[in-house]
Amino acid sequence: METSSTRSDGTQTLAAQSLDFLNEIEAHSGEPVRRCFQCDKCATGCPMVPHMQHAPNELFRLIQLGDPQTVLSSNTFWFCVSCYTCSIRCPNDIDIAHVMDSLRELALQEGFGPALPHARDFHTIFLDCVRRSGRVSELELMARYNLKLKKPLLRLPLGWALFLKGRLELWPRRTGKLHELFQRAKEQR
Amino acid sequence: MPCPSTNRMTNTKQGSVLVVGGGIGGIQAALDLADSGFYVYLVEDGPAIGGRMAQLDKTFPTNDCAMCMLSPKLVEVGRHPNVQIITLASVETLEGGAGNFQVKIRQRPRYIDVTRCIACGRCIASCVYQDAKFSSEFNVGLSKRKPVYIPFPQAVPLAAVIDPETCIFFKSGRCPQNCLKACERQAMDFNQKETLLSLNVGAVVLAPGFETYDARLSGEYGFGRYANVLTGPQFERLLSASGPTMGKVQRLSDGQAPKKIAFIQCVGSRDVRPGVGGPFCSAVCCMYATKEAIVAKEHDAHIEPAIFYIDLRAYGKGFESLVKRAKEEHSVRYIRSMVSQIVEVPETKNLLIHYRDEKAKMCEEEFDLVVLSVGLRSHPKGRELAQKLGIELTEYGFAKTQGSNPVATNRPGVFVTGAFAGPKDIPETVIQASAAAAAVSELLAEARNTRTHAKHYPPELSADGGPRIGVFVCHCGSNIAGVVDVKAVAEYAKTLPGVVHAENVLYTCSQDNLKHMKELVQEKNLNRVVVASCTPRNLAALFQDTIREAGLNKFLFEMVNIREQCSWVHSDQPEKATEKAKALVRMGVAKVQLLQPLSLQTVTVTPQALVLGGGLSGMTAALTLAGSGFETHLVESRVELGHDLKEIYHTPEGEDVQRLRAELMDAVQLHPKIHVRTSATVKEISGFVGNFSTVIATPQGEERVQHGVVIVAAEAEEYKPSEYLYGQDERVLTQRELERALSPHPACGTPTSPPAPLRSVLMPPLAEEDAASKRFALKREGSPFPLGKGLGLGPGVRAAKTIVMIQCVGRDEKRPYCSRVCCGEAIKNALTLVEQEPGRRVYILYRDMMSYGFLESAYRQAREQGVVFIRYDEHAPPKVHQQDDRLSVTVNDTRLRQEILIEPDLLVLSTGVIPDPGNEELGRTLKVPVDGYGFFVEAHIKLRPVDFASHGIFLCGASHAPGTISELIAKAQAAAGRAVMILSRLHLEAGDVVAVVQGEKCTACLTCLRECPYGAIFINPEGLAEVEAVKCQGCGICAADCPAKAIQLRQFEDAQELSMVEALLGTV
Amino acid sequence: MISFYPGCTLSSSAKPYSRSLYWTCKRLGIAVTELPDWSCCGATSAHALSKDLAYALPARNLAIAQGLQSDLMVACSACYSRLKITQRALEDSAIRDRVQRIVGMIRESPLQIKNVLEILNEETHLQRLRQERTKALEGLKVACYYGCLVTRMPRVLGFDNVENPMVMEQLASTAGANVVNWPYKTACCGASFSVINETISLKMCAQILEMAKRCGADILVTSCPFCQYNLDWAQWKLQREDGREPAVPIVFITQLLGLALGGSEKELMLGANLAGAGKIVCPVGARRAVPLHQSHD
Repeated sequence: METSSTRSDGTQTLAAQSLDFLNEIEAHSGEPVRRCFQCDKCATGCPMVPHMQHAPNELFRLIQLGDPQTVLSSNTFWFCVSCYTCSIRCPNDIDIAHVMDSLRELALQEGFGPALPHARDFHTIFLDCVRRSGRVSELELMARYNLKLKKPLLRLPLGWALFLKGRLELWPRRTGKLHELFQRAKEQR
Repeated sequence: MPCPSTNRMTNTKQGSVLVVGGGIGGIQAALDLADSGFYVYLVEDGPAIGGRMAQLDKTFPTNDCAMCMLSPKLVEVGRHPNVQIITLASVETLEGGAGNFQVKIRQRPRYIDVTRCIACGRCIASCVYQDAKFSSEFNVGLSKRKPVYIPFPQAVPLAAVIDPETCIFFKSGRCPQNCLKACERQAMDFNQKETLLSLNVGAVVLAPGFETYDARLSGEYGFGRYANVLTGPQFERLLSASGPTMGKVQRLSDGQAPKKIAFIQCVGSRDVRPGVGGPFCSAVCCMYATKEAIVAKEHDAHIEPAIFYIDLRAYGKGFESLVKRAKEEHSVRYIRSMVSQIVEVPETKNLLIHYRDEKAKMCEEEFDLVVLSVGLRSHPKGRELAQKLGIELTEYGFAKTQGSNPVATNRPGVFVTGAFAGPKDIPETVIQASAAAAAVSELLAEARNTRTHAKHYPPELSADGGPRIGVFVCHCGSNIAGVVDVKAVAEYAKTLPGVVHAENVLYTCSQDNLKHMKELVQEKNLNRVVVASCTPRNLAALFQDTIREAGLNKFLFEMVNIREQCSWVHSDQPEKATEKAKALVRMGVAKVQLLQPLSLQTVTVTPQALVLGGGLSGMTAALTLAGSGFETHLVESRVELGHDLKEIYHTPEGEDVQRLRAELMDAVQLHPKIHVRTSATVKEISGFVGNFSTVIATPQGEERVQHGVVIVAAEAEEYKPSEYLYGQDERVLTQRELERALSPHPACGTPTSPPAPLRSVLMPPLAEEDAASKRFALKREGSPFPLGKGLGLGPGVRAAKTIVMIQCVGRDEKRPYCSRVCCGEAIKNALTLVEQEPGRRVYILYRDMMSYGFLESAYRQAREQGVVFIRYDEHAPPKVHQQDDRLSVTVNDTRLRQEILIEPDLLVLSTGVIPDPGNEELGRTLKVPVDGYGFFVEAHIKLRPVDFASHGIFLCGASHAPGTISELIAKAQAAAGRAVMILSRLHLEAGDVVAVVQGEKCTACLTCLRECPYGAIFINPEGLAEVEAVKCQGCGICAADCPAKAIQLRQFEDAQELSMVEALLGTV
Repeated sequence: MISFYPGCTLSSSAKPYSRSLYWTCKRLGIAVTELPDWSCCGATSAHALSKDLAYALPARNLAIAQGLQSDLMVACSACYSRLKITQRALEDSAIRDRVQRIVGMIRESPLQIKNVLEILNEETHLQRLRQERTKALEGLKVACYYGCLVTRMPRVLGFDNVENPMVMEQLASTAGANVVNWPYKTACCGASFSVINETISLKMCAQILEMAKRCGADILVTSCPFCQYNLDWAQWKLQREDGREPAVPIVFITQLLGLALGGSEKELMLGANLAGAGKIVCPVGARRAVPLHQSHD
């Protein structure tokens, strides 16, 4: 049965579902999401919460109620900047930021479009740089990111300024390629 | 009654008790024991007794002044002939066993002779440290003290102490020791050495207390970094009139009066992070924050308090209404959002806080002051003590006790009270203290009165032949003489009518002078005495005792305070101070002339008890009384005992309640000293403390019993709801009904297996295998929560896959109080459900989870087992529908602000408890009060939780206040213990300062009859009002209210009081 | 001898960090050799997209370091955090096996992962700094900025207080500077959002800079390349957009120490800041030196 239905007054009613989704998230992240008692500390300490559709603890409640649809399509974990403020202050000792990582990964796996496509693109290109050169050349990273955005000239003045200050490496030293490593990681899935 | 002579021959049980810890718990235990015929050694680690309560400004839920309640107890215990206070001392070893222990006590030097020191403060003034520079323990670091200091103004013993850690003499050896020279009493003694005392005691009561959480560990709140971030205990001192700012609420950064004050709850509590907090709830913070918020507002109406919290734990008697007052009368804001961090505004030192309002809107608000509600932790010294004495501790470092035997430790003969056994408030501590005293007096019953000493006085001299008054005017060192011309006052006194002797004394209270005073009374045959010195609070009783030793009636005495009221308040105007002192002495002399000797009427005590109510509490109380050696009549209106336990199968701690019930019932029925009457009611009751006479109606007819005390042990019942289709749909149950369905053995009056007889209950336990610690210790094996695999499960329950529990059902305007036990029961049953079948989904819909104390762990365990807790707003309770054959529950999740739909197979209602409907009538019969909800009202919610105002009548049971099984057991033991204090005396003395009716003036208007809170006034055969002297507490209400002025209060008669006014103003 | 894991940024946007770091270490007698064949730790993208890579990439470097049997010094906060968190995660056998299969070379030998701050703060080095500092920094008011990652590692024991770290204050004050007490020392600068979503990142940086100014800081000192870049970039950006006065230049702690030890502008790349490069050595001398403990009363 569908997880939510719209009532006459327009407000959504959410039907509580099984704990399978909760179990899946906990298995992937290794974090006891169920322990959350809604104290709100993660929300009040999060620098990104104003931009989030759901505060972390609200997302946790939705996970407990078994609503993957709403959870995985939420923008919350895409706006998580991994500052770990929530994680170190959670009185239930849940590494919340780490759960956000898991949600990001699972959302992409399940084919949910990212709330911040830029973020996904940036991270994907970043990792591809690592795969190809073992290390990241900021020049290469930015160039490819700009191409992806179809804005080749984006941040040109900044790049130039950095270059003049000697803070832009033109010929990065490369280490052994990490193709095999990435390949094996892929096969693990 | 125990017979001393046989005792000594038959056993070696000691009639003395060691009490460790001088806080309110230790003090209460010491007083109860000393008044039940045991000699008490009260050992305190610090320089004075009083503990945490002494540092409090007010106490919740009544917001009474803490010191005003504590101080009289301090004085009482300090003066008690059968209590020896040993300060600066700790227990080193404890050998032997229950009944006969050998204790070694290490006492650190005070460097000041307590018997000589009169706390005049000259040593402090003369100290080489010009100004105080060491953090004051009493003011939690908010003020400074010198190396020599007086712990606090009301300290007992009231004497200075030297802290060798900070004293120059001890640190460098190079110090002029001005204090030594300054002391006029030669009380300083720098040669004192540490001493090792050996004591022989029959039992031990441990009350070492707790420590508060170190807020520095919660770095996000900046305590220690930000000047205007305080802890709750610090703020308490800030509010206190005796505190560092004399009760002025101000910021530490700039001394400005704060307007907006934020309280942050659960600092160091309900926090599982390693090294940061404690995983348990500290049980008191929600209420102390509420209290401090209200008191702050009372100090300064401009203050706007806001309290940030997770769950508001107002679970105790009167807590709910205090919170209501805070919200409605004092507009305290309660914000259910935990603060993640505090940011100090650099320019103003204000504190920036982010939180989310009920609409989940992110708010930023600036506060002038932040108070961190720090939690309670086990005290390192308590843990050390436990380790030395071999006392088992819990994982959190608190003393381990059994739910069914809350004050016993694993070591026979060693008992606990207060926060040492887990976070708790003052009433719970006082109850446990009395319970521990009761357990001791049961253990040591036959050693009672073997170590106490009673005082003997010479026959009383006649006070006739006109007044011969002696006046003693005290120098009190320079304390009085420094300002008041005491010689002039004494000379003046000689000129007053009736005065045959007046003199100056350096220290009236010193032993040598007391002796001198006695001699004078005899050689100048004085028959009245006036002492002009300090406050009567501390010393009046001492002087009265002295003249009694000299053969005078102790009421032929008057005390005049020329220190506080003259030399201290008028230190800048010596002449006027002297004149005032003369005037006060004049008044005192005028009054003492008219004082009459008052004789105590002695009443013999009937050493039997009447216990009303045969539930858990009644049975426990009866067993305690009988165990202490007193015949007990147990009256139960129902056909069988233990009705209230019938549908409870195990405690949240996992103890088997049906087994407990069966064993209690057997023990009660088998006990030779307990006389059980079921289907019985009290027809009439008359008499007074020590001598009650009651007619009990049973099916077999009526009978009259004589008894010295009454214990009201009425229980409460689970409320049977009309809400949520209860009674219309068999899938809707109450929490108790669910528990019954889940229980491994079906509910019945008698247990499945006949229990082994409990010798521990039948006869006083022996040292080796004292059952006190094992008594009813029925801990389950393995999982703390029973897995009733299908046994006796209702089919509906067995099949249920999805279960919804709704808390606070029927908790409305008419019944707004929290029933305290329902959240625990819901958690307990939810855990059983999921452990029986892990696939089950259990949803608990709540308002505030009241998992106070260690119950928090069960709450966490339930969440970890997948139980989902959804909070609803009390104004938008869940809705339940019956669509075709399906049950559906909709609840508005306050966090998601979204409606949740659950379709349960089973709906369980937590309906709370309602007091016994019979309470109203019983209250009328006994003339004891019942509150608006039908609960009995104790004499004092804080310090006399199991006494009624009327002497000789005590209360326990859920009809006093709802509680867990272990809380009810403690309360029942406490009530019994308080009763034993009366029963253990051969006779009571009463009727000195009482009201008397002058019959000829009485118009029998019945005003006094209605006003008397103690039911002491009756209409005699002549149709006139008369005072039952034994019942009268001398409060004076009747004397004040009598329209015909027919009532006089002895010692405060109109003529006596007016004579003082006349003496002051000349004839009026 | 200690192996050094520089991380990717130190060879480009954080070049001044690497320059001043090598210079200062040499000056203090800390022998440093770059970890051979090191590769990117994956921060911050790996843990954002793939749990396996998040652990595998650092694990590869841990394995190399373990082979060398020497402590591992890490300069970049992000790298430090990922390496430490991975080390902790590998204690879990399940994760261990997964990573093992990807990286193929995990050794049991224990490894000390140390942050640059941790090493510089060792008493011997503080001693030497105290003795050999030549340039007076008295009166230079420094706000130490740690950012998120260097102390906030869930269930991993760091080298300093999580909520109120003091290591950099200790270093700056030993170097002779006056440290200011300010509340945003561990606030978040927005990390990769400076690329993904400039507006958000700019706002976060602006708040931090604003607070530093209000607390009277002449310069900000950090040990995190991302923080340095973001705050520097933010000021540069704001400056270009509305010609705002650059608030406070932000330099690496090693640049400050180098300065105190008499390092030249060139040796320490003091001019490499996008914003306020000229103001790094601000007018000195007028104000008095304030010892650390007093400045934190």
